[in-house]
Amino acid sequence: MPTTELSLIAGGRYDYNSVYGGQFSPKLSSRYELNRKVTFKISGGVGFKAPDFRQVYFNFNNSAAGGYSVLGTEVAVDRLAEMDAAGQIQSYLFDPALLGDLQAERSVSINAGANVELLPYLMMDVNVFHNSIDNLIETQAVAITTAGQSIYSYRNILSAFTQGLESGFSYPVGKFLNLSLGYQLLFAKDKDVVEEVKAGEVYWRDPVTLVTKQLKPGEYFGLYNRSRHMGNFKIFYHHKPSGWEGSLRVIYRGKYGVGDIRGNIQGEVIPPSDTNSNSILDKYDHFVEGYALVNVSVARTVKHIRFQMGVDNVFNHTEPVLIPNLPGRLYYGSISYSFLKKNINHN
Amino acid sequence: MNLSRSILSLAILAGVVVSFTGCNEEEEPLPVVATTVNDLNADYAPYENPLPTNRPPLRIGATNKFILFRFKTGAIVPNADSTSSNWDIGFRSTTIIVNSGTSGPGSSMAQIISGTLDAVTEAPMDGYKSDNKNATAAADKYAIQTGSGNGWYTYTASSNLIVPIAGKIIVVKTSDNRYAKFEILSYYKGKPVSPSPEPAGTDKDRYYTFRYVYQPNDTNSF
Repeated sequence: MPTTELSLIAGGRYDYNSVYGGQFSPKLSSRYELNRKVTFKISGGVGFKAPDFRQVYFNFNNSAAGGYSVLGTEVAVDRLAEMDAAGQIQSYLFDPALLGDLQAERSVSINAGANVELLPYLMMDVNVFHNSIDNLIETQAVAITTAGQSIYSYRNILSAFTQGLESGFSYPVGKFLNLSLGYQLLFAKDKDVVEEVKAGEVYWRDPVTLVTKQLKPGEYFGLYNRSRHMGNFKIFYHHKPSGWEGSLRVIYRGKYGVGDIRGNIQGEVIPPSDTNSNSILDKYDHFVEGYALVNVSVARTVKHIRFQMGVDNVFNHTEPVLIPNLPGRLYYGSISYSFLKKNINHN
Repeated sequence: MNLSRSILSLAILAGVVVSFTGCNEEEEPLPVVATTVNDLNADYAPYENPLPTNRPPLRIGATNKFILFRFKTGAIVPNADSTSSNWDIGFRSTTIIVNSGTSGPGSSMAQIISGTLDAVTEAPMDGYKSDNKNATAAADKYAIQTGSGNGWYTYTASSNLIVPIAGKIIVVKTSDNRYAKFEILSYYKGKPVSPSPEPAGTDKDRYYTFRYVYQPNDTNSF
């Protein structure tokens, strides 16, 4: 146990990239132990992420199933010009002149939170965060070839932010049972869109009545593929004397939007979330509904051998068009042998 | 006899003239109404079948001609009149032309402003553009700029979907020197709620549904 109530850690790193420049990224974090039950934490820092190899130099063509190409931003302009001269470009979706100048992501983040023992052994960990990201790197569809293939490259979202709250509770019941609960609230938005909405420049059209209305501040939902609410609830049972273990996990993902550039999966056209003609995700759009997955497992360890079986996605939740990579109910079993007698650390 | 008859007809003529001018002096403004044009066919043509794999599919039987529209009459103008100033705007596929510059002999010009159709209560006094197909910059080729996200629509290649951007009001200064405003509501026949365009889907493109207001009087307010 630390004897001082306040601790302060300062650190930093320096990144240098011959193309994208450098940045000194300091970080500062501190803890303040109010008493044995309550500890406050606060930290802040700066981040730097240069575009990676793929985003800059890729010249990749996947010719299978309709096909698409990915061109790094350094090669995209020349390659597109070549293809255009050869009559291979059907149309541009994004001005190639705006490519080729990918910037490094720079971010500033602040976190503040507390660890609190609410009741004996009932631990709460809460944290609020804000990250402000300049030049967030995103995939961008650039052109269609005459063969109907999409060409993708990368661009920066000039400025975005993510902010929200994370919290976790854990509570041991008796000697063998542990309950835990986690929750995350997230707002992830494009700052420019926020400003446009605030300035009254964004509209939406009801797809049924075809009536156009101005989008009000607060009705902009945010970036695609980010849920406002996420949560999990876990029960672990571990009876050391007999080697029996069991777990129940409920994982919740709140509603979210799917992006505007989507393809054909299993013969079905994936509908984009934006259904009201403004290219942004707002409250009147069509979301992937929130869902919970329930996973259970039991295991027993006898000496060095561990037997485990379980069922993931017990209620067989599937979303074949919108989440094609979500398998249905999954049964599994495993036997493992460990050479070390140490407890196997598993999820 | 003849003389008296002529006098009578002159008198009638005078009466008519008087009643005409009388009407003008009262300045009863012509009504301003919003009208929706449904499914204006802007050169729809079916895709060739089977679809080719090595080039963009052809549209069989496309005329490559613009469908011309005049706000004053609210009617389509026959393409034979394309060299007259009897039309204001023309539609062909996603391209919308105005009757001036390289597109026609008229003087109709246009610009896009943001708003809802009802909220645009005054047409701007300036800022209108003509078509200039030969311009070097893509942005200057058409008064109503073409390309995804540049003008009135966005295009998603993977689903071949054209979406009219909400809140893009096209204001036209017509060849009759009047103002009109319109908003494109749908690009697909029958205004499907969630279009699934051909060739993968069944919805026919190049069918414009738009709502417009024409100001027949000599004022820029609607």
